[in-house]
Amino acid sequence: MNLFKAESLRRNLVLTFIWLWVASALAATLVAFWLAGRSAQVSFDRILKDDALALATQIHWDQSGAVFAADPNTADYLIFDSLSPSRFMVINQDGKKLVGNAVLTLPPNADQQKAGSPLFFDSDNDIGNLRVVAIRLEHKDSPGHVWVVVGESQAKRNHISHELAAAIFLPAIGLAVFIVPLLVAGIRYGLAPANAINDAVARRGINDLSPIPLYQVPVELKGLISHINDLLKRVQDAVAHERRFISDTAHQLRTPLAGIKLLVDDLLRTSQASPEDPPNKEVLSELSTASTRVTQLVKQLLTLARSEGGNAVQMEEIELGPIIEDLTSHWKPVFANSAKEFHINASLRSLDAFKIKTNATLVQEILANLIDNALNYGGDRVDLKATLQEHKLMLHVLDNGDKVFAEDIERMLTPFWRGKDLSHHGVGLGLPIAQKTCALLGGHLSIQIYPEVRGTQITIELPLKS
Amino acid sequence: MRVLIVEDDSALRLGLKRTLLAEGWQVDTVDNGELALAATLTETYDIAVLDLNLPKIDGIAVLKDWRSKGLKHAVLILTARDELQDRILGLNSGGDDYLTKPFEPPELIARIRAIVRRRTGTLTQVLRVGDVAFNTESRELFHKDQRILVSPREATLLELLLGSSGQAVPKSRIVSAMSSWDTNFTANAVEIYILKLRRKLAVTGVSIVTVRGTGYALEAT
Repeated sequence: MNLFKAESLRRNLVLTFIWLWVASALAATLVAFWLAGRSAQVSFDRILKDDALALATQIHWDQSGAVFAADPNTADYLIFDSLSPSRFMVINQDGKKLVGNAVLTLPPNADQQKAGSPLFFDSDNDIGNLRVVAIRLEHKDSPGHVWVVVGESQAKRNHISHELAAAIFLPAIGLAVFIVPLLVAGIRYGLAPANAINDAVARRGINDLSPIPLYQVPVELKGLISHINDLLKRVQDAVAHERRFISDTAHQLRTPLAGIKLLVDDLLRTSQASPEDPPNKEVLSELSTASTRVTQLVKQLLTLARSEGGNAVQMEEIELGPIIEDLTSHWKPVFANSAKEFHINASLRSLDAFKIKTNATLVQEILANLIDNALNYGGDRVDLKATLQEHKLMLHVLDNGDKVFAEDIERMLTPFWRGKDLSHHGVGLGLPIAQKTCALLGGHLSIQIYPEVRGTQITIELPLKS
Repeated sequence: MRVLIVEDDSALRLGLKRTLLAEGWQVDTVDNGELALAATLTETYDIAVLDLNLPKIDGIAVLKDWRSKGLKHAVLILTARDELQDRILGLNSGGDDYLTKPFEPPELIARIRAIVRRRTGTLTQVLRVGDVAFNTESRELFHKDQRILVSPREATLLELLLGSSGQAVPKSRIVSAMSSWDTNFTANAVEIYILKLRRKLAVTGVSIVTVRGTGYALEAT
C-alpha cells in the first residue's frame, strides 16, 4: 500500500457506500430469487400432486384389485397442462399399467413411501428432464396397491425461473442506475461544509491568522477546527513575538547606524573641504565605538537566534575544574580594569573535580553573559557560588549593585531591556540569551532579590543527568 | 540659530553636532532628559533635536515639561521607533516634526529649517531689506545680483537682523544665538561681527544701526 497516496474522503465514502449497496442489493435479490423460486417449486409440486390426486379419483377398487374407470383421453384431460404436456401412468403392484401415456421409473426406495403420501423426485430419461410425483394408493377392501405417477417437464419450471430472475434482478439493476448518482450527490452535499471550510482557508491571505469561525462547521469537524484555531493562536502569538523582536532589533540598530551615517558623511565633507587635514580623532573614535556596538549587537542576536533554534545539544561528561580556571583567568583582569572585584566562592572551588553531563561551551557562554551583566549593571563586587543538590547543580552569580524592583525581574529577561540607566554599553540581550541557552541544557534560570541585601542573584540550575 | 541636541548615543550625538555646526548654527548637546530640562532653564534655543528613548527622564516627559513651562522653541523629534502611535504621541505632546533614524543629513537640515520658518512665520527663504537679499537656505548674501561672501557666524547675525522685520534685536539675544557651550562668545565679539558686517554692507545702501539701550537693527538708506 502506498502510505503517501492522498486519501479522498469523498472517494472513500462513495466506494464504501457503493460496495455496501451492491453487496446488500445482491444478497437481497438472491434471497428473493431463491425464496420466489422455492415458492414456485412448492406451488408446481402441489399442482402436480393435485393432478395425481385427480387421476386417483378415477380408480375404482373391487375384490380383484384396482381398476382405472375412465378412458385414457379423460385421463389426459384431467391433467391437461398448457405449458408442457404431462406424462403419467397408473400401475398396479405387479407393474401392470392401468392407464398412462409414458413409462415413468420409480426410485428404488419408493416402496418405503407411506401410502397416500406424495413422493417427489426428478427423473432424467429419454423423455426428458422431468419433475415427478408418485402416490401409492391402497384400499382396505381391495388387495394390492396402485402407483399414480405424474411428471412434467423441468423446462416449464426453468422458464418460470428465468421469468422470476428477470422480474427480480432487472429492477435491482435499474435501481442501481438511480442509486449510484444519488449516493454521489448525497455525499457531495454532505461534504459541502467541509469543502466550504477548505475554500475559506485556501482563500486566506498569508498574514491572516484569525481563528476559523465555528458557527457553520459540522459537529464532526468542530474538534479538528478548534485544534487548528488553537494552533493558529499559538502561531499568531509567535509571529507577534517575532515582529516585536524584529522591530526592537531594528530600533537597536538604527541609533548607532544613524550615528555612523552622520559621522561618515562628516568625514567625507571635511576631507573634501580640507584634504590635507587629518581626520578628526573624536569622530574616528566615536565611529569605532558605534561600529563595535553594532557588531556586538549582531553577535548577540545570532547567539539568541541559535539558542532559540531548538537544535539538539551535544552533551558530554565534563569536569568543572577547567571551567572555573577559564573564568578566573578571563574575568579577573577585566574586573581589575574596571576597579571591581570578582570572587569565586569556596562552594564552587570545592567542586573542582565534580563531573557533570552537559555542554561545556554553552555553560561557559551562560556564565559569561551573567558575569558580564553583573559587571555592567551591578555594583563593585561579583561573587560566583555553587550549590549541589541530589539531582541538580546550581550556580549563582551575585552582585552588590542597586536594588532591583520586583516588577523589573520579568522585564530583565525581555530582549533589549536595559534598565533605567542606559549609560552602560550592553544591548540588553545577555540575560535572555543565558535563559534560553540554559533551557537548551535542560536547566532553568531564575533571578532572586532579597529585601535586606543589596544587589541581585541570578541562579542557573543544571540537571546532573541529561 | 541655536540648537539643543538631546541624544544618549554618543556617536549620533557627535554626528548631529558636527552636521549642524557645519551649517553655521550654534549647537549644545546633552545625553539625558534631566540635563535637557536643565539646559533650557538657562539658555534660549530656536530648536531642540530630541531623542525619545532617553535615560533618567524620557523624551516625551521632557517635551511635556517644556510645553507646560511655556517654552516655545521648536522641537524635532528624532527616534528609532516609527510606529504610528509613537509619531502621534510625539506630535501631540508638543513636537513640531518627526524624523526616524537613520536619516539623510540634508533631510535633517531641511526639516529643521522648515520647522523654524513655520515657527518664526518667515515663510520666504529669501529675506530682503533694500537691495540686499539673504537666502536662508543657501545662506548666501546678494547685493542686487552681486554675491557678497559672509562667514557662517556673519550669516547667523545677518539672519537674526533680517528676520526681525526692522525691529531692533537685543544684544543679549545675539549673544545667545551665536553662543554654544563650547565657544566662549561675548558681547565684545558681537561688536566685532557687527563691524565686519557693516564693512561688507557699506556698498549696498543698507546699514546696521545701533539702537541705544536696545540693540541693533538693519536700515535701508
